[in-house]
Amino acid sequence: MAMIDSLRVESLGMGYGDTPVLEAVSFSVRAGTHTAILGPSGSGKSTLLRLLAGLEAPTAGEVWLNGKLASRAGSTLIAPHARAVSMVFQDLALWPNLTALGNVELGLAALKLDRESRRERARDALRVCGLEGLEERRPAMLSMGQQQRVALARALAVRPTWLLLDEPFASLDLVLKERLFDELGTLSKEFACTLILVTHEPADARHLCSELVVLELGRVLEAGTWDQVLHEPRSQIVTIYRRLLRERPNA
Amino acid sequence: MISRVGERLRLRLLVSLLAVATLLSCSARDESFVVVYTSVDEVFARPIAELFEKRTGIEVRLVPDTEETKSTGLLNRLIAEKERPQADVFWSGDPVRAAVLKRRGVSAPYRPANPADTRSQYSDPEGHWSALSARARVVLYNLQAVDAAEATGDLESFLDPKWMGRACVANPLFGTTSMHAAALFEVLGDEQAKTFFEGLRTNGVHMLSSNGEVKRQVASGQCAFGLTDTDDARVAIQEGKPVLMRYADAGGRGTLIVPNVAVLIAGAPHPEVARRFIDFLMTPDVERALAESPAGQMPLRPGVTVPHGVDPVADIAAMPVNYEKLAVHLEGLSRGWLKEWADTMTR
Amino acid sequence: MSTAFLAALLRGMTSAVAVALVSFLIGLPTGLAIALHEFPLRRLLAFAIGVGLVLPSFLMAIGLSMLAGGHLPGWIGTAWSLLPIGFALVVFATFAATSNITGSQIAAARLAGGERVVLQESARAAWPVAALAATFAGILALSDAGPGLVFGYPGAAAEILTSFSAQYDFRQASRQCLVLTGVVAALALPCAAMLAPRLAHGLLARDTSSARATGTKWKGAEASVVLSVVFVVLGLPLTGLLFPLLRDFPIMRALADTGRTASYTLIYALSAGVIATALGFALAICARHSQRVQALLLTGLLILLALPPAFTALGWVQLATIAPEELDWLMRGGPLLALHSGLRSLPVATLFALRAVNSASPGWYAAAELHGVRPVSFMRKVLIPWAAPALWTSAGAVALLSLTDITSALLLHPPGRGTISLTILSVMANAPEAYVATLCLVYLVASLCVVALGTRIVRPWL
Repeated sequence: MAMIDSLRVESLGMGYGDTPVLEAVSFSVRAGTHTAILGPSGSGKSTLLRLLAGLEAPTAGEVWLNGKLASRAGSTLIAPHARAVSMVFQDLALWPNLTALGNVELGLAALKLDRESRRERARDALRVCGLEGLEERRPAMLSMGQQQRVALARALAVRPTWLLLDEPFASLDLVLKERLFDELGTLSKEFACTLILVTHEPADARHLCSELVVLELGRVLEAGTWDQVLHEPRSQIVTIYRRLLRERPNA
Repeated sequence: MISRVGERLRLRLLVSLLAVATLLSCSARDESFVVVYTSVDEVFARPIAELFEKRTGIEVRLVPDTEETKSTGLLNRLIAEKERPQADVFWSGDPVRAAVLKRRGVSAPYRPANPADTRSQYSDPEGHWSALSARARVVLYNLQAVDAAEATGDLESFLDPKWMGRACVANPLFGTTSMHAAALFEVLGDEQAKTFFEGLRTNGVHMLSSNGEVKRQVASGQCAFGLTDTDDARVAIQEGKPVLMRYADAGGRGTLIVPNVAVLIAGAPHPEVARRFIDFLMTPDVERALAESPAGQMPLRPGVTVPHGVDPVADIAAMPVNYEKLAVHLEGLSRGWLKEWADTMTR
Repeated sequence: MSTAFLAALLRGMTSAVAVALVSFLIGLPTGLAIALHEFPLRRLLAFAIGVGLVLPSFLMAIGLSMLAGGHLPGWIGTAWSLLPIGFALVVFATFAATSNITGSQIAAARLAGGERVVLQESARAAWPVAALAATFAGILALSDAGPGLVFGYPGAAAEILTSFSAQYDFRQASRQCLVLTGVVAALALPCAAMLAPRLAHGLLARDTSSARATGTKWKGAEASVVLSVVFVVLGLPLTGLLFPLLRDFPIMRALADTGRTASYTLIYALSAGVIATALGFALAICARHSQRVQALLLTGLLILLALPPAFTALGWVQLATIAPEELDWLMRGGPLLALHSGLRSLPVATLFALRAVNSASPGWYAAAELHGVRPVSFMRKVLIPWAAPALWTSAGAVALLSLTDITSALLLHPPGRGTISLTILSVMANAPEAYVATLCLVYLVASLCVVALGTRIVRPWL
């Protein structure tokens, strides 16, 4: 597959009132890659993801998807559901009164499939995410890990071009996390989607992604492959991570 | 899965029931009924309505008034509906409301062929209302507080310092008390009437919300005596309360007689049936039934058999009043002096 | 405006403030206790509190007056008669608000400091809704003339009633209504502005389990306290009203008279509940995005509540009179009565709906937008099921409240199709006390049975 820029962000800015959250953010992501957006809490990562998804309009700058202008200052030109973007939210955002199957089915609303096809695709997504047999359970009856998978199934069922993950491993144990790493890697290849992972954990970012963008205080401090960034870190988070790697190379 | 199907069925059933119920409650076009608005207590009006239904097969749709709303509802509803009335007949417990309707063009003249008020003493000369069974204003005494010998019905006792703070009257802005107040102004003249009312205030007479409340408080002994109507008083007597009733001011200015009246509504949707109902109200049977009811309403028609304890109106020394003039006078008093007086009683 | 009216306005405000304050102070803890704890007689007491919404305040006033024998000061008697409605509103609002607190929040509070902290944190979450419900109760008290007239403490509503019924001065009544609503607006706007932002209680969408009653070592004490409060607020007035039953119990006659109006009563009440709840929900959805709009909405609704029902009902009567005859099925039929009663209770329904809508997770909306879920589908499948407990509670509360709206029933009911509460008030002047008491009892029992049955039917959605 030819590596082309399929997502480009230019001088993106976002603020609420007088409070800037993002300033002059520019980077690009190539199709088919796994890119991490790394930064400490409050650096604007989740806001950036919401702008990429089109859930909010930026106050400055532009978002380009596959060569088309998707958002610019003050307006969203391509609606969220028309961007071929899917997202696993930080709080999962599962609809509480719907079963696992119902959550995934409703997530296919934009595709205008008939009922049978919708159901079949939903079941398929749940099966792929290892949730066979749990279709009729509501989120409250599922474990945290199972809820994560339902959210993932819902995101994958639409066959997105872009899969955005907002801190998906936040409350998972190591075993579950490892499993999800593997599954995410496999699924993103299987569904041929470009993955963008938001996290504050460098280790998680490195495990899953080959490229990263580092945010601090709403600005991009560095971007590139891991080798490039680790070679000459400019951000605090990467600097600390590099030091930890040197101190505990086997961790 | 089954529970979800069950939920859907329940919801559909609920929605269907509500839709059917709403349709049922919608007003339907039907000619075999008469609509009677009445300020007569429903306890007494309903049996009469049922008697009419039984005899004629015509349904009576009764719209009663409530003690709480002080006739706000009914009279104002009639006035508001004037251009296209729903009511056919207004059966009022007093002629003052009928006079108000006449002045506002809500009523139409109709003279029953066989009126109960054979001497035309209480009916409108122009035929806008026809009188039947009456109540009278009375003083109700609690016999545990007042000796029977002292129970004379004299209104002056309300001013007697011996009874300071022990007597009660209903608010003179509403109901038959307002009529009585206007009558006193008519008969006594403004100055004397004002002196009387001021005397009530200085003697600590309690102003209560209604005649019913007067009855309750006298019956329970909270008040020694109070001014009310015969029907309230009779109900208290029949309940076995320790009370005694005397016609108000029978030995002085005369007792105010408060006749029921029947009014034909101008533009009534069912005028023929309305006239039949008014004619029915005028019959001796109705006056007898009202006399025999707990209200003990006094027939106007001579010769109607009455139970023991109910006096024909002719036997009562009545206060000489012109009801139409009373209504006009009352309107002025309600906006002026009487309102101010009622306000002072509240402070 | 005359000094008499201003004095009446002051009296009305005194009673209204008393009702609002006391309703809040006793209603909030009672609502929390019922929502969070299991204790003996809990359900029965919750039902008993609902009685406060069923009986017209005028009847409560009569009952209290008969019991107290003229020894109650005017403002206390007036406020006490109106307290059952206020108390019930605050308890149910607190209950509805507490139902949105999640299990993890309760667990966190318990770990932090036991039941005391649980109650503190729950109170912190529920108090804005409870305060608004108390404000509504105060405003309802302002527009209710009955108890003030019984206790010789007439408020502005009584003055307006006088303008209508004794003076037939509609212009004066309109002016007085304007003054009353102006006062309410001046007081309501800062109140609504302060409380509206606190109606939001957005949850993390991850936390989907809900808190339910827990057992405590104070079960007995809790039950006793709630029982005492319910007895004082409701039991005493009811005792005065039902005392004559000791002398006589004409049940067959009462059943015959109430049976005649039972079906219409049910229809009007349920319809009013549905109308108010649907409208309230729609308003809450529209106002979701802006706290300023919510504050303005609440202010507008409070003003609506302050208008005496006679004022608006007579307006409808006039409208129905000039409307074409073809519309009589609507304008002179039951639907109009249901609509008017429902609109009268719209503030209550909107409050419940605002609370429920505001506590929905923003993440749900974002996920729906991202997945192209149509608004109608989202409402049907996500938002309405989420808000269902609050919506059903709202429908029930409005249905019960509408039964106490005598004036609307009197002015708008189709001839021959009255309500049970109207029947009671139209016979009570001269019916034997025992008969009135029997009617009240039948009415109470019937209402509670319907509430119980209704709760059972809607249980899947609670």
